[in-house]
Amino acid sequence: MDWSFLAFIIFATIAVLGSLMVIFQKTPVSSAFSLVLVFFAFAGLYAILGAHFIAALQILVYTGAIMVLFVFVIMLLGQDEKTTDLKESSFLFKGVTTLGVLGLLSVLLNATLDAQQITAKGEYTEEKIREMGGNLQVISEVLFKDYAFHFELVSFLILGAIVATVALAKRKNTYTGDYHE
Amino acid sequence: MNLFLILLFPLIGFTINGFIHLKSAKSGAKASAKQTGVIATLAMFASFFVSAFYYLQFSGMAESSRLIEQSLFTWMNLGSFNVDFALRLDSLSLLFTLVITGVGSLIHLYSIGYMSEDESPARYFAYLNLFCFMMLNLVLGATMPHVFLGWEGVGLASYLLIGYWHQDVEKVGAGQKAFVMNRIGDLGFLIAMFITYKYVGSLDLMVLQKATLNPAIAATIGFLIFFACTGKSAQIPLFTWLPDAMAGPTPVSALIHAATMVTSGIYLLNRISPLLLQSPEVMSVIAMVGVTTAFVSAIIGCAQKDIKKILAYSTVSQLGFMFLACGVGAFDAGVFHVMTHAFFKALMFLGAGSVIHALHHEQNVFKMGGLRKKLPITTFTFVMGWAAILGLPPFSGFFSKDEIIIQSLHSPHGNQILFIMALASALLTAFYMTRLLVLVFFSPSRMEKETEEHVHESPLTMTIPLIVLAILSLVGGFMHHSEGGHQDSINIIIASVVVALVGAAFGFFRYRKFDKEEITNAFVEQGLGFDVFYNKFFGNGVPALAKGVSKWVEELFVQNTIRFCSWMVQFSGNVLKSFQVGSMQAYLLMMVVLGLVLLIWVLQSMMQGVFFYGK
Amino acid sequence: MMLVVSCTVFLIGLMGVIFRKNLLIVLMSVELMLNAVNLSFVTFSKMHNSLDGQIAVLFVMTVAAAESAVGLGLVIALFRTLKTADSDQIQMLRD
Repeated sequence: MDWSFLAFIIFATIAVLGSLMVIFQKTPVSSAFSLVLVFFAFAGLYAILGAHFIAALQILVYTGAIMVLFVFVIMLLGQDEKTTDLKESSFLFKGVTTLGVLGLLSVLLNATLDAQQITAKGEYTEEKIREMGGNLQVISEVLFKDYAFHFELVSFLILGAIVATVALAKRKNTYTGDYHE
Repeated sequence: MNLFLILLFPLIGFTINGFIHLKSAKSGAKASAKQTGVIATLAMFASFFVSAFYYLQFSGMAESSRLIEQSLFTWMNLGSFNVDFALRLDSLSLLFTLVITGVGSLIHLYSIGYMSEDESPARYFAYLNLFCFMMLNLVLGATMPHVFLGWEGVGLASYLLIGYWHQDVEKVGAGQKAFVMNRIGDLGFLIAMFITYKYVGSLDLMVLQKATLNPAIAATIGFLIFFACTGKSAQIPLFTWLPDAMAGPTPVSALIHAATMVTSGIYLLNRISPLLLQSPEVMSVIAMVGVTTAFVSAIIGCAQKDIKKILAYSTVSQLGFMFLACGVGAFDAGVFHVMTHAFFKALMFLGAGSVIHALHHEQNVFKMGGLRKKLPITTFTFVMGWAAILGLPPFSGFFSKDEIIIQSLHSPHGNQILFIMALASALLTAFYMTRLLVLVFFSPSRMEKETEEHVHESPLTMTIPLIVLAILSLVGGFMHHSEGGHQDSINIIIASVVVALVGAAFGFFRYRKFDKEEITNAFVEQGLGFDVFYNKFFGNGVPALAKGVSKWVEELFVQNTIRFCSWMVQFSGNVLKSFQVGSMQAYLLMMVVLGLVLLIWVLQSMMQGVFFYGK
Repeated sequence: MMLVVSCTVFLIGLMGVIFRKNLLIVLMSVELMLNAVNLSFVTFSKMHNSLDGQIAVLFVMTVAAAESAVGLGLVIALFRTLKTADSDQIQMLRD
C-alpha cells in the first residue's frame, strides 16, 4: 500500500469527523477546537496533493490567524456555556435539511464521476515543477507575473475589510448614542 | 413688406385689449368703449392696408405668378414629419384677406357705436381681434395644420363671442351648441389630415393640390373635408347652430356668422378643388347638399319672426348657394358670391343691428314697422342690401347669384334638378327678404308708444360702415368678369330676375298693410324639426347608450375584472407571506432546495442528461 | 477521492449553517465550506497540471480572512446591542 494513500485515508477521516464535530458540538469553544483539527487535516491533504505552499499558508492563516480570532471573540462574548439550539429545531426542519443535503451530495458525487475523465493539459507537471525549483518558486512566479494585477486588487479588499471592521467596532450605539471604546 | 404684418396687427390689438380687460376686471373700472374700439379698429385698418398693398402688387403681376410664400419658423419637427409655420398668399387667399380685413374694419368701426353701453368692451374687442387673427391664419396658412389652427381658432372666437353675454344661460348654451356642432365637423378635417399625410406624405396644401391620388382616397379626403365644411359653414346636417348663434352681439353676427367664418368652408373647398374635380361623386354630393340647404333654410326663413334669425337662415341659404357653386365646379362663382354676400349680408346685419339698437333690443319684426322716416340712412342702405340679395341688376348679388344659377344648369356637373331648386330658393329668398324689409321699414307701425318715442338714428360710427357697405353692395358685382356667354344665359338671367320680382311683389303686397302678428307654422319656425330630432336622437339616445354600457359592460365586465385582479394580488400576497418567516435558517433551507433544483437542471442540460437518460 | 472528501465537508458545513443558530458556529461552518472548496481547487489544479487553481486558493483564503474579520465584527456589534448571538432572536427587520 502506497504511503500517500494511507496518509490520505487518515487525513480524510480526521477532516470528515472533525467537521461533523464542528457542527454538532454544544459549546462554541469545542467547535472551534474541532475546526482547528479540520484545518490541520486539510493542510495534510494539500501536502499530499503537492501544494506545499498552500499547506503552509493553511496552517498560518487559518489555524494561526482566523482561529485565534474566533477564540478571541468567543472569549470576549463569554460564549462558553452549552447551547440548546440544536434541540430547538423541529423534526420536519431537520428532516428536510438532511434530505436536501443528501440530495446535493448525490448530485455532486455524480458530478465528480465525470471529473475522473479529465485529461491533464497544463504545462506544470510534477517533473517540471521539480526542475523549476519547487512549488513555492513556481507559485511565486505565476502569482507575481500573471496575477499581479489581481493580487493588487485583493490588497484593496483587505484594506476595505479593515476599514469596515474598525467602523463596526467603533459603531455608535443605537440605543444610548454613545461610542464604544 | 412682410406677410406676417397682416397677422401681426390683429394680434397686437388682441394683446393690448386683452390686457386692458384684465386690468379693468381687476380694478373694477369700466374700460372705455371708444378707447378700446379705436385700438381694435386701427389694428384692423392697418392689416387692411397691408392687404391692399399686396392687392396692388398682385395686380401688376401676371396671373400665373401671383404667389408669395413666406416661412416664419419650423413649427413641428418629428423625424420625417416636418411642418413649417408658413404663410402663402395667392389670389384666392388675397380675396379672402381683403374681405376679412376690409369688412372686418368696418364692423369694428360699427362696434364702437354699438357696444358703447356695454359693460366690458375691452373683452369684446379683444375677442373680435382674436377672431380676425385666427381667420387670417386660416386663409393664409400654407399647410393643413396651420389651416386647422385657424379653423379651431375661429371656432373658439365664435364660441366666446356667441356666449359674450355670459350671464344669460341661453346664450352660453347657444355658444356651446355652435362649438359642439363645429367639433363634429372638425373630426372630418382631422381624419382627412391623417389620410393626407399617409397617402400624400406631406401636409402642404399645394402638394395636396398637385397630388395624383387613387380615386377612392381622393374621394375620401374630399368627402371628409366637405364634412368639416358643413360644420363650419352651417350646411345640412350641421346647420342648426347658426340661427342660435344669433345670440351674440349683432356686429359679431355680421362679421363671423355672415361675412367671414362661415365662408371658410368655401375657402377650403376651393383650396382642394383639384382633388374634388377628380371625384364626381363627391362633387354631386356637395351640390345636392348645398342646394337642399339653400331650399330648406329658405323655407324656414319664411316663418321666422326674429329679425336676426331671418337673416341667419338667409345666410344659411346663401351658403347653400355657394356650396352649390362649388359642387357644380364653378368655384370662381362660389368665391365671387362669398365676396358679394359678405358685402350685402354684413350690410343687412349691421342695418338690423342699427334697428335693434334704436329700438332698445327689440328683435321681433312684428313689433316694428314704419321705421323709414325715423331711420332714413338705415332704411336706404338696407334697401340696397335687399336689392343685392334679390339679385336685381346692377347690384352685386345679380352677378354672383345669377352666375351660380347659370352654372347649376350649364356646367358639366349641373343638372335640371339643381337648377329648379336653386330657382325656387331664389324665389323664397326674394319673398322673405321683402317680408322683412316691408315689416320693418314700410308697414304701419306696430311699436309700443314708449319705444316709438325713443327711436333715433344711429351714431356716425355706425352709419359710416353702413354707407360704405351699401356702396360696395352696389358696385361689388363689377369686380369680376363673368365668362358666361352661353347662348341661353340671358334667358336664365331674365328668368331669375323675374322670379325674384315675383317673390318680392308677393311679399310686398302681403305685408304692406300688416298690423298684427302673423301666425306661422310652429314646426317650420322651429327649424323643420332638425333640432328636435338631434335632441331626441343624440340628446337622449347617447345617454341611454351610456347607461346601458355602464350597467352591462361596466358592472359585469370591468368591475369583475378589477375585483379579480385585486383578489389575485391578495391571494398571491397571502401565499408569499407564508414564506417570510424571518428565520435565517429557513431562508437558507429554501436556498438549498432551490439550488438543488437549479443544479440538477443545469447539469441535466450541460451534460446531456446525466441523471435521467444515463450516459 | 479528494473530491469526495471535499463534497462531504462542504455539505457538512452547509448543514451546520442551516442547523445551528449560534452565529459563531454558523461562521465556523462557513469556514468549513470555504475550505472544502479550496480542497477541490487544489485537486483540480493537480488534475489539470495547472497552477491557476492554487492561485485561486490564495485569493479565497484572503477573502475568507476578510470575511471572518468583518463577520466577527458584525457579531460583536450585534451582541452589544441585542445581548445575544442567536440568529432567531435577530428579527428586527421582519417585525
